[in-house]
Amino acid sequence: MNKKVFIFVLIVIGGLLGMGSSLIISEVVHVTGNAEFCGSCHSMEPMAKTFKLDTHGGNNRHGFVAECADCHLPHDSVLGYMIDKTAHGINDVFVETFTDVDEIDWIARRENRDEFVYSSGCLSCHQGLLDKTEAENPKSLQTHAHYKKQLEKGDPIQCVSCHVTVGHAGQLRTELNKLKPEFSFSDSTESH
Amino acid sequence: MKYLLLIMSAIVAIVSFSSVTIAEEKEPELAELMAEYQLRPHHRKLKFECVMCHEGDDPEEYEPLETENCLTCHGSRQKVADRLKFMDENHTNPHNSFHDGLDLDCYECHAEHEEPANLCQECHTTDNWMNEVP
Repeated sequence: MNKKVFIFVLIVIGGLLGMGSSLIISEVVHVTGNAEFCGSCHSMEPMAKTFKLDTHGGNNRHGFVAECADCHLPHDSVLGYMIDKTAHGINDVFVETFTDVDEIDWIARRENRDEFVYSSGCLSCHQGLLDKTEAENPKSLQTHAHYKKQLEKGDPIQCVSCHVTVGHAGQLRTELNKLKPEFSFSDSTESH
Repeated sequence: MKYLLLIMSAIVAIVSFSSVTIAEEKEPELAELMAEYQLRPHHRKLKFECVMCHEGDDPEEYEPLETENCLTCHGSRQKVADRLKFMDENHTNPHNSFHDGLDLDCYECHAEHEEPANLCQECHTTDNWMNEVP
């Protein structure tokens, strides 16, 4: 085999291997981003359950269903998405397997929602939202203009900073309370 | 003609100077107002200016909010109550209470520019069934 043929064969084999592995990775990324997969872990059951009650989880007249990764991974770039997905994947498998997930205070962690719900995810679906001039609730035009203004000022807020219960139908706290109640509800004696 | 031009230039200069002065005064005034009328932490975090809640251009004429004003962002009384549904079982949901149902006005407990008050605590000890009013 001469050198040119060898290089050609090498490129073809390399291309096929690259394409094949890309398809496999793409498939893996696809099947590991939805509520069925994420909710199969014990600690994510309340999140998956309340997601299904939400507009984004299929509770809408169109039957549309988003995926966990649509909101909980950044959508600025494919590279950033893949890096974050890999990092989250490694972290989640480690935490779920080797630590006591029942010890995680999910109710308190809801306060850090800005850190794990990405506006780039929201806006990759709701692409025209910030430029709308009419809305069922006119207040949303004002608040979304505020979002844009803060972004332009370099002092951004996140979609979820306002939409604090989005994605879980406002029921995540209630569902988490079934597992670990915030209050004992005892001693509610009247003081006078 | 020369005098007329001079007078007109003077008028333009005075008007321009006044506009600049008013604009310069307006900013510190707004900053002072925002310092005086601070927001609760959950709204401060959103970096809201006065006009997000109050209508009009003159802060002197801003009116206290009604519950319906709050609900333009917060949705409905039912939606607000549903966020605390886990408290329904023990009838301690302040947004859907044993006494008032959905009919309690926001400002009975919540206050944006001053410390909030817990209406339930006027009769009950709430330590074991309620957080601080945000």
